[in-house]
Amino acid sequence: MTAVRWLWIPLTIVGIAMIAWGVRIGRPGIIEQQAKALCTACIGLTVE
Amino acid sequence: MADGRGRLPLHLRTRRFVQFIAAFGANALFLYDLRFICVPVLNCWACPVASFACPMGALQSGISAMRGALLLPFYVLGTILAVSAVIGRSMCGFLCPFGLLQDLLGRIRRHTARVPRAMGYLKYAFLIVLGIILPYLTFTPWFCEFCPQGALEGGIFQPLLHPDLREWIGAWWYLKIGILAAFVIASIFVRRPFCHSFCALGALFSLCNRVSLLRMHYIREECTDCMWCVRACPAGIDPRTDLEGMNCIKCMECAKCPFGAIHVSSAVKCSACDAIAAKDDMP
Repeated sequence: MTAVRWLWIPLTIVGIAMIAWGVRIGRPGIIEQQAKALCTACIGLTVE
Repeated sequence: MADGRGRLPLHLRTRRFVQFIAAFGANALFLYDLRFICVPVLNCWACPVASFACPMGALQSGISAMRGALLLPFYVLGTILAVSAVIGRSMCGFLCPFGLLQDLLGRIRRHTARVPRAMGYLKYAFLIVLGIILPYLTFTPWFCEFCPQGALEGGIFQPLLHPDLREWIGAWWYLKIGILAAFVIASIFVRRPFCHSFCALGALFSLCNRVSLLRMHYIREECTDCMWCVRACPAGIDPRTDLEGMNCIKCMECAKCPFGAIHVSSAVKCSACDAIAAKDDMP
């Protein structure tokens, strides 16, 4: 199917556009803050 | 598939090396800090030396934030979409540290069982329930709560390095360690059980597996049904029927087929397929 063969192109473009929009609204900085904070859920700690 | 010197192509010879480099590279905080980038593999950001952010953790926190801001987590979803549209689920086969661990454990025994194909749908349930719905409703990253990679990289090493955290170790920590132990033991007897049936990130990558730029082709005419590919597949699938399916991690191990029945190519062009079609057209 020819359409399926080229589907990766619009998917990649949409993906890159979403990344660009995320960068524009400052998501990398927020993610960096969360990554540097201790993720108690990931570790399995029970914080009272 | 071998070249004139009897060697396999580079991409078929270097997977294990690439896996080790990737595992090291994702956990090299002492070299670089790139935690504003979501590396699209399952590498917990609670790991003391994680140098990238975990996409599942970031996705769930972004989904939790949706309730206030009505914004999709574009950055993380865009990363996953762009990568999977190009290489499908190859991240799982080549770069994921937890996949590497399962591969290594799977080599302890000569023969390992395969997970039933239908259990592969379970990872979509985990993605939707633990990765999307529950974080949206409860502001808690429920996939991370159960994730064995978090238990391995964060749950073990963080309390070791920071004794003050140990007072917060409770039943949930033991549950996570138990889940990790279950997957470690299972990986000795079954091929990539976590990747096959539980990984939410793998579930997301698999959505583009059949339409990505990187493709793999099975050529029935060249196949002798020797089952070499079935025995070689680290994901435990049958490449003759499930190649590029939801459980295929595009590790390309089956492309080492001694009869050349499976090829790595692109969505744009498959030279091997064209050669066979031309041979069929010859009088």
